[in-house]
Amino acid sequence: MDILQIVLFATVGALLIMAIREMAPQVSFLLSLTIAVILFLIALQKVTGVLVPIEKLAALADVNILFFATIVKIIGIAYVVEFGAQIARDAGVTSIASKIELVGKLFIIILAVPIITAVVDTVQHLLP
Amino acid sequence: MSLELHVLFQIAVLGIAAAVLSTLLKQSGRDEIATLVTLTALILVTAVVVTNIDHLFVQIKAVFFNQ
Repeated sequence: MDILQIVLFATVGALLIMAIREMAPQVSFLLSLTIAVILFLIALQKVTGVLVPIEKLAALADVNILFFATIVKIIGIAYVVEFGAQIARDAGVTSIASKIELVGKLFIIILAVPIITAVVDTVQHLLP
Repeated sequence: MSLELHVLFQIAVLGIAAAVLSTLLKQSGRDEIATLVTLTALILVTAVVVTNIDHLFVQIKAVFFNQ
C-alpha cells in the first residue's frame, strides 16, 4: 500500500503549509519545494523499475543503443524541465518558468537531430 | 522507498518557531534581532532544502543521463 503512504504524506505536507503560510510565507514555499522534491524522488525510484525491463526489451529487439539512450535522455530532460518550471511558477516568476521550458525544448530538439538525420538518410536510400 | 516525513516537520517547526520568536522580539521593540532571527531560520531551512535538491539531481543523473 505504497500509494496510501504517498498520498497521506502529501496531505500532511499540505496541512503544514496551510498552517505556516500566514506566519512565514518563505518557509512555506520552501516546504512545498521539499515535498515536491521528495515525491519526485519516489517517482524516480519507480521509473528505474520500469526503465530496466524496457532496456532489456530494446536489447532483445536489436534497437540501436544510440536511439534508446537518446530517448531516455529526452524523457529525463522533460521531467526535469517540468519540475523546474513548476517550482518557478510556484515562486511566482512565470517568465522564468517559460524560459526554462524554452531551453528544455531546444535541448530536446538538439538531442533529436541525430534521429532526424537517420530518418532522412533512410528516405534518401529508399528514393531512386 | 523513503518518505522523509521528519524533514517536513523539521522545516515546519523551524518556520513556526522563527515566526513566533520574531513576533515576540518585535513586540518588545527589538526589530533588528527579529530580522536576524527570520533570516537565520530562512538560511537553515534553505540548507535543508538544498541538500534534498542535491540528492534529487544526483539521482536524476544516475537514472536518465548515465548512458
